[in-house]
Amino acid sequence: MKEDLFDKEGKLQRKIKILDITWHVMHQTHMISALKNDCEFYYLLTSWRSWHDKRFSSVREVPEEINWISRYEPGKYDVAILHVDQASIDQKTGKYKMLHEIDEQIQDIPKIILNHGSPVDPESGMLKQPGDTNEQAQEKCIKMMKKLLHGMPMVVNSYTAASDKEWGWGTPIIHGMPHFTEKEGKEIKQSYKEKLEKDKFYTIEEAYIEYEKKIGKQGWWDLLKEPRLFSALSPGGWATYYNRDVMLALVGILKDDYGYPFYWCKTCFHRTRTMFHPSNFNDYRSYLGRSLIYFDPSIRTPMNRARSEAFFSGCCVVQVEGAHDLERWAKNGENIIIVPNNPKEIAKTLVDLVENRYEEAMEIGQRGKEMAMKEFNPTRYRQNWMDVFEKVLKPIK
Amino acid sequence: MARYAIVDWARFNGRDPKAIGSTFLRADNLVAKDKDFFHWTQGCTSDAIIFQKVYWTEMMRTDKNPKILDLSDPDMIKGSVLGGMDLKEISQYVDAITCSSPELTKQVAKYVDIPTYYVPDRINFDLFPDPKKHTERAKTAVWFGYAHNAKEVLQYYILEGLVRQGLDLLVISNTPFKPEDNYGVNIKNVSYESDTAYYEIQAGDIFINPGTVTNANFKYKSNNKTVIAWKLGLPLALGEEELQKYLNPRAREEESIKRIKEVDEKYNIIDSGKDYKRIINEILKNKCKDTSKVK
Repeated sequence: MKEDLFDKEGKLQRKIKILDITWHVMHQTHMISALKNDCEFYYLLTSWRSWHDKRFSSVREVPEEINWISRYEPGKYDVAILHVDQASIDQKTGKYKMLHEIDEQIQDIPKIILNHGSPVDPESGMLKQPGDTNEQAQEKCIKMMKKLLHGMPMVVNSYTAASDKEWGWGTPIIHGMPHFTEKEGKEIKQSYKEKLEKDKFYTIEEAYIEYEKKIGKQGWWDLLKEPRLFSALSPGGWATYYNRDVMLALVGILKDDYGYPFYWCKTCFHRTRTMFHPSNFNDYRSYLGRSLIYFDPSIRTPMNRARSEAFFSGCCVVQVEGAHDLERWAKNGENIIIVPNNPKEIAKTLVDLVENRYEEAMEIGQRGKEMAMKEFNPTRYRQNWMDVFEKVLKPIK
Repeated sequence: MARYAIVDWARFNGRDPKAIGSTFLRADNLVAKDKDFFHWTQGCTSDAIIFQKVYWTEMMRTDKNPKILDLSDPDMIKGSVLGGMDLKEISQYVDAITCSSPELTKQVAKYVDIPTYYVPDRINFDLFPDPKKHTERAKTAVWFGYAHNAKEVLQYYILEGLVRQGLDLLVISNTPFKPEDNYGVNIKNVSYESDTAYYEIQAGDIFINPGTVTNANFKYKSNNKTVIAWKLGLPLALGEEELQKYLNPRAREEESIKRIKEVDEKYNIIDSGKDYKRIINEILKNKCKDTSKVK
């Protein structure tokens, strides 16, 4: 515990010095944005992932707030955030090796584990032996994670992830993202109208970018909705975790039975799928903001960040039933459409929404946005993290 | 005691270090024989960093201690976009460059403004069996390495030469060697396994490694295969003339004695440690000079 961190009344006296590494750059962008007034961020360079690599910096620009360090120096930081997901338990993975090496280096400060995943059999064949049920594989995964973390406090991304349905322990912190308030949204649209009168080629995207520069905050762009279907899932990962089998079947049904392309962002190596590759963050925000429907097939992933981005962008979110935490904020037919885990049913609903229920989908999108502003706001998110930091850093009286 | 970290290509790229020649020779051998060197790990502290074919500009730009870029291939030809590196760019972020062949050293030195040194691929003598004894007429020529290189090196005229000399060919390669035509040579292909490779090589009598391939990848290669073969007691044949000469066991034995002496003198990995330390000291001296200028 650093003596100068809290005063006698237990109030924070200076910024908390956080040691972190590049892991999930979307998550980390929001974390830095929410905590920049309370914390200093020191990112240790690792061989595993580089934010300066275009694969990541095109997804989210490298935040200016990061102090990059080449080596760990004891005594310089207050707390470390280390990252895992279910792949981290496999000793063959870079994730395991990195965690292991960094964990060994850091011996002088508390370490908080941020677990991005859930205990789905990693489908590498490591855990699930012939004859094992999925439940048995999950049990093994949980056991190995416990061993790997050896008592370090763990933060997870959903309440379900912390429940007995998934890991069975952990502190849930639901993400919170910077976004535009209703008033700010109106100001952007007003400024767009004014500039368009002087410059007929002026775009709404330019208006958003200019406004963001002016107020020093990046949000999500709620643009005119085109009647199209869109999704963004991680390019890596596993079939069960992301429910890829259903997604693949859906893409086929939409194409073959309805003649609808499904725009699936940056997610696949499978050549036959229709893909969309945004070249940068603004392209992504523009495409997402102009898509009427955002579909999320995943059930076992904790709170999906891309789905919340779609809510903030005013998209009508269609979600497969059974996903983490739906019961806490989702109201079927009001702020989201929940569909059974059946590709034929999903395809029928998606096409119906696009072809026959455009206005309804727009309204659901707007109510989804209102819900997201309330539930996934950065103020609450910041407070959740500050509570965790206080818990691990404050001296016990 | 100073401690020098080596960020090696194999570990950085998640590959088996034993299967990557340059890492095995230039990093693992050195770490095994000189306690001042160690494999870099995430977040570790060191007094200098050697980037063994690792083009990690982010780290080079961040770390303040002496940094050496160690090259084994002319990757600047490809450029960073194609998985190589941008030499001029990267040379701004390190203090010195070391290269594994004199040809590469000379070429790199033409482009960069920082000191460039030749540090040969050297070997760890502990890993070598006793040299082969030659008592009979040669039966088998041997080549070892990556299968894709074998295809380039073992061209038809080499295979025809082997036939004329009545020699079989043993190819020890990482993946199966499948030439389109064997030109009548009896070819045996054995998988390259790091633990047994040196013994497998000694199943041959002459190491065949024609120096006729002139493309850039080969032009700048180090002589590490030759050094390994010599230490194992095998003579090097570049072409048919030498193959014929080394059919005679006495010629091979004489060559073996001569070359082992040469390897012992020039290619002991312990000398690479000395080379790197000398270079690091030079860097530190120059840094001191720079600082005094600023003052």
